Amino acid sequence: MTKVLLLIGSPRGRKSTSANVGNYILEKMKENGLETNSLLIRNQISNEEKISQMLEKIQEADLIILTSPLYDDCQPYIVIKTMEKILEKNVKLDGKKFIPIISCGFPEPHQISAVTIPIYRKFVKTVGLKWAGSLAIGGGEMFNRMMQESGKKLEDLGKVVEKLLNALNQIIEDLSSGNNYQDVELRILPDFWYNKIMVRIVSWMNTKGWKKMAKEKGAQVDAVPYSQ
Amino acid sequence: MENNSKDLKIGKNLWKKTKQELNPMSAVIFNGSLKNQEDLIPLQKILEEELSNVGLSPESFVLHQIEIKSCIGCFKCWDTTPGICTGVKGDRANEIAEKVIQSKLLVFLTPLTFGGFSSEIKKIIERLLPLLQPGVNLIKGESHHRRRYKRYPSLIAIASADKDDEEENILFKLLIDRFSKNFYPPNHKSEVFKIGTDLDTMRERVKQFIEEMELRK
Repeated sequence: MTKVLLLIGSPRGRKSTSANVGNYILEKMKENGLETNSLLIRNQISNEEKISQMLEKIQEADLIILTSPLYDDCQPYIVIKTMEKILEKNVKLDGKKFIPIISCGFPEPHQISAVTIPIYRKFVKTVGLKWAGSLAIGGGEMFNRMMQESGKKLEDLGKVVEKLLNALNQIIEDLSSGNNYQDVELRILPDFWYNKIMVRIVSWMNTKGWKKMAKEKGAQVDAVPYSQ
Repeated sequence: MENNSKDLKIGKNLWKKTKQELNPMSAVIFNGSLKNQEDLIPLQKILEEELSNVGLSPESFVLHQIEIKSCIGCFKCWDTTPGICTGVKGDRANEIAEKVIQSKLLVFLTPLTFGGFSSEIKKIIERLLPLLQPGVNLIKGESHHRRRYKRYPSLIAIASADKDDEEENILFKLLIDRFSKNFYPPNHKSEVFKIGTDLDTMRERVKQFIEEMELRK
């Protein structure tokens, strides 16, 4: 039986788009009869013993699904550390499949596919893994916020999550049947939201939203605490 | 009268000079080597020397020797205590962020890691998020972070590589270009040196960067 390992690479841990997206995929794969397992990288990276434990799980898997956010134009620290450890410990990975599913706060999936996906490709090639496709989710952070606010599951968010679920379902179908997924840049909303004027309006609203959020907490969003 | 004002002027200039000498502009160097890696030490020394030579005051941080914790993505530095990280406690990240924003130059030294940063460099970069503001700044139609401060340090990023992989070298340059769109350095340069490059070559390249970036006071 194919063994699937989900590595959740968000520094936020369980309350993250990475966890939500990963768990959705994993549940469906389990229903498809695959053997599934998952680990929060955040909890495994703090000491050598837990790192070894994680590397063992990686070694046991046939398919590794990594869900992770984009932090500062590339992988978060905890994911880079995991990749370094895999290289350093010379973990045997030949023939195992790897698929990164990456989301970011900004709406453009290109922010992810520009540098981060190629870094994953280099990693895969260097350590002997097999590329099984990739998904770059522009604006994916939004779903985590919606889930926190509504208390709903990812698949119950309604029409707004349709495009994402279609992509995830395709990944589940392809990987469950032993095929590879493609390399996809996903804009989560209908095209209308991405025209120049809408982008300006949404950006403006985003900025205003943060200002309001800080104000509600008694803070000034544009504070400059350090003198220059 | 004429002599007096001349004297005053000289006095003023002297005072200005003294003030600058007491408070030279700083440069912050991050050495992102992993434990037991020493490839970047000679380059760190070259940078320290050459930056001092142009009147900057460099301070180096060998990151793996310093207590810095991982960002937890809580955004408290944006909506609760804007500009200061209060989500992670008990390390030196805030102190370092303050030094960064007060410096004229920031330097990343990193082992080239699949074309990107080492974990050590990335760990501190994530903790510099308070220096930026939330919201969106559209640059050529693409979303980027907003600046919090008027001035940011210029950036030099140098990676050391154990092999000649042109694709990884290009990725590193692209990463620094993209990072710079979110961090607002007035100038930025990046370079990959193969491990074993002779020191004179590295020194000449560093000097060239310093000239081109007009870091000399």
